[in-house]
Amino acid sequence: MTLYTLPCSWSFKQAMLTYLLRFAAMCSVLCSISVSALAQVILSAERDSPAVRDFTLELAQTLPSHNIIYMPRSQLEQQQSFAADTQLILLGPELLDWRLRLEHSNPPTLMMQVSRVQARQRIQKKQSKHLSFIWSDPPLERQIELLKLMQPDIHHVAVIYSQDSIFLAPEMMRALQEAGMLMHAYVLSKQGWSDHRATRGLNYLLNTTDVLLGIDDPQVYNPTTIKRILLSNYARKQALIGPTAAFVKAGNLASTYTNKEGWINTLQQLLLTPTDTWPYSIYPTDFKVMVNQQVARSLGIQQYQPDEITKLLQQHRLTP
Amino acid sequence: MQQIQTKRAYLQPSIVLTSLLVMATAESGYADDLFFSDQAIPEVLTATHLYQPPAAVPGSVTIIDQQLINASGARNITDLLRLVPGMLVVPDSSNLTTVNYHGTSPGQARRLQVLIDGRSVYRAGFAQVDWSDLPVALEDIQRIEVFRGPNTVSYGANALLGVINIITTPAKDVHGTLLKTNLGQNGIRDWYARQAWHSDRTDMRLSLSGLTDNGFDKRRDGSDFRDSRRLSRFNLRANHQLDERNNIDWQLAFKEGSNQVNNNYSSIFAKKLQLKPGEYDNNSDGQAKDYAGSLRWTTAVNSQHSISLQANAQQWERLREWRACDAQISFEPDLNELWQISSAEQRKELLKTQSMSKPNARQQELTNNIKNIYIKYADQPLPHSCGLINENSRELRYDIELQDTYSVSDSLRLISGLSYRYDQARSRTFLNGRQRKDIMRGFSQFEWYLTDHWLLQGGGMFEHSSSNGNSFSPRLAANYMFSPAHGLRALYSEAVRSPDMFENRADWRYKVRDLRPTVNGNSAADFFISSKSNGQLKQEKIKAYELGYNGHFARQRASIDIKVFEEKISRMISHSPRLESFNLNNNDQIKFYGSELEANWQATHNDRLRLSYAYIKERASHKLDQKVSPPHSGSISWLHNWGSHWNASLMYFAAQQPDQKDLQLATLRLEKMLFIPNKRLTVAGTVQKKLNNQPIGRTNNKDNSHDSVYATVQLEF
Repeated sequence: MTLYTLPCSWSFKQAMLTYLLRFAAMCSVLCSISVSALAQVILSAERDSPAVRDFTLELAQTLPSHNIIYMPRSQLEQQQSFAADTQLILLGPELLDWRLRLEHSNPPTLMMQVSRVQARQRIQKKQSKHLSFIWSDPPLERQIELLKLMQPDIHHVAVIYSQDSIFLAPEMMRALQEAGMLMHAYVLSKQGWSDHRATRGLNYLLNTTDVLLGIDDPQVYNPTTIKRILLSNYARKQALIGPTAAFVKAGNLASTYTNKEGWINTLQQLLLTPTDTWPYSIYPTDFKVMVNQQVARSLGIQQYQPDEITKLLQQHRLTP
Repeated sequence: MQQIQTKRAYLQPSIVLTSLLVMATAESGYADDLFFSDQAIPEVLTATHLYQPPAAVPGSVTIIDQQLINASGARNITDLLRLVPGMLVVPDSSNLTTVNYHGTSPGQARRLQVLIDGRSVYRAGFAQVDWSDLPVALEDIQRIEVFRGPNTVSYGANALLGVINIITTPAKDVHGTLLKTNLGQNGIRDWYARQAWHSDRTDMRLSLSGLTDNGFDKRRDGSDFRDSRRLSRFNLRANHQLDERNNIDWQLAFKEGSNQVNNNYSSIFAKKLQLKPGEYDNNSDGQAKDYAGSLRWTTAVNSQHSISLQANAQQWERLREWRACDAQISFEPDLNELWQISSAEQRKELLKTQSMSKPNARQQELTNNIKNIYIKYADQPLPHSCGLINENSRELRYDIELQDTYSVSDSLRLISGLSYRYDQARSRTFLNGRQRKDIMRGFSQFEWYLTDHWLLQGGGMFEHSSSNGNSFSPRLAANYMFSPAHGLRALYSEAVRSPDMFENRADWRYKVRDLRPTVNGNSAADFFISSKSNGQLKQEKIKAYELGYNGHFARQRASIDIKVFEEKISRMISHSPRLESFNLNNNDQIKFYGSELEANWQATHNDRLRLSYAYIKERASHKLDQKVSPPHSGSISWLHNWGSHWNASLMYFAAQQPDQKDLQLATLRLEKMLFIPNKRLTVAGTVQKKLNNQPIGRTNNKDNSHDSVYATVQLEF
């Protein structure tokens, strides 16, 4: 707050009054400014937890000029409408459902922790509803680059789709072709793995390919099914890349992933740009690589330290 | 407390945020869980579950995978073993084949450990492997792993020259129904049926199969070779995932069948006998029944530590009874007694000259008695009687093994275990009753990554046998890994083989029953020639050295394994036991040296090539072991996918046989798969041919009489 020097001819009372008036004016100006600067950015997640609250705080710390607050889901869902300049950051597919149902308001929204398959299940075509996705699953091209780095001479790549993820097939095939590889696909029927033909199809697929590339589709890869897939794949001395870093502990060879700092950076970059420039969807630009070294050694694959791979991949980075 | 930032144009943190910031604990690991929750996902490929990459294996291993098994068109496991470099497969008849690694007399093929799913299948009493009688169908085999070299540490007793590990398809990898039949020349009529069931935690597969063929056509001398066989098998395997950590896999296997064997019995008095047809059996076919059950329980204590317990029970029943004739004099009690009290040299003389030198008083007396009977028939045929003799045996084995796999750290893994085995054999003819043996065994081995490139592996097995005392077999290997895909290895191992119950406890005598006509009023008598083991046999011992290289070239999709080796077996039991003179001793030895090569190349997406080659030199002290090992032998295989579900394969085997012309075998197979809605039909034709007129090994079969052509039809749904 700056102080104005008063002309010395005014009386003290008048000076005080002027001072007060200017102060009030200043306050109102400042208030109006802070109201516009302090437009709300509301962050909410499917489940309330200390982790989410901490994340909000950390994000806010990186953007002190923004008014980033956390709102529990129950409170959020009671809101019928939002101020015109409110921005939402929502985590999880259930909040995506809620956001799609919102009729009276259309606040610009960044969707996180939603994968491409999950989004596709809810939205068939692009909708310009001020909705921007920051995909939770790793970008296909990045996973393919990782595959190429770890197993340079592989040509035949197996990919398993379900009815929910088959839409990714053309994109995957193109991306693999650009990397000089050939896609062999198996598509699960509506019954998924409980279809008795599924395992036979899997075996036939794995017999004719050299590696399995996973996509984040819970119908295909989930805690119950991962064992059978991994064991069949490993029995043929083949690796599974992806679908996400969470599966690396199970025995997948490797996957790229984005950690908390990476998400914050991505959000930060987006929040600093005007909402009408927000893209329909992006992948976070920062990433790391997680490798199961024991599995790599067992399969005779050159063992890299995760930092090495991350650096190598970043040099080749393609922006999806 | 957050400071007011003056660096930017408009910064007034709201009061609400400030207070929140004051409360912030900011533990960064916490918020990580938001994006990375892997708690629900199980660890599948745990440290104890992972297998070694080929370049790190402390030895040479050949894997015959399912693709090779199908492409070979083989109907017998022994045909598949020709693909292993250095393996000698010698058919004595169609239903009796012996398999040896590197050499030693085919008649003594008992120096290999053979396992089916971890269950040792060489016979309890006779240490031989009846390949045709194994209760496993080829269609149930997922792969065969052959460890070329001694390895009692990992595979237990009898693994003197090598280990053949037959691994059947687990129930979870089998789906639906499969029906198959082979029909062809040589009386080939095989069938196979399989069904699988799956539920949430249980998988089960049942297979029934049968095999029939006429075997070889002619013997070496041109006479008909009666060596057909007929058999049926039953195999049930199930797997139960009890909970996250515990798993049980069990199986029941059963095989029954009969093998034709000519009646080869000929009397020493043959020239003086006039036998009438119908008095004796032309044939002495055998019935063979194998029963087996095993159960394996595996538990994962944690991701670093797993324990498994396997229990097996097996029974072998071999029944072979036939009517044979001999001079009545050979059943005389006096002659029996004379034989019993005579020494080995005297027995030899007796058979040659009907008299012996330096007889004692009793021997002289008995010789005179016999001579008096014999002289009566100087110009006439001797009177004969015909009775039933048998070579029946019933053997049984129980064993239990506990194995502990513990990953001490990322670079050290320990595998240790204890096992107990009980063997029993009953045979009137061979053992004069029942013999038993039990073995306790403890083993431990370590895999230690000294650095990223140096791997040291070693171990030892200690065995206590009720019949052979104690023994210890150590093993040590060092691998240098250029990269995870290429490695050099150097290893030294020792192993022992205990003589089997027949070798060490034989009491071999033919008791004849139902003699017609009776002899001295008796319808049962003992045939005078018999022999007994002196029970002094000691364990055979092997010392082996090996240097090898194993590499996998990912770009070329090729892998290669080369080794040079030297093996020395000492205290070897080489003599072939005969009824007239058992004479087994540990006085022999053999030394092998040479090199072996195995290469696999996926040349194109549609072509697979495989090459195996062995160069073996042997130096044996006993005649039976000499000139057995082919100096050069090997195989070439080409598998080709023509597209539109047509597949073809061509395999060629060759071996240079000492003192004979080369052995050359070829197999050609053509297959077409047809997809009918929900069903898959496979039709295939296989041709097996000997390319030159040469019998395999020094055995009975003649020329190209084992060529066969047969068709296969298979339906899956």
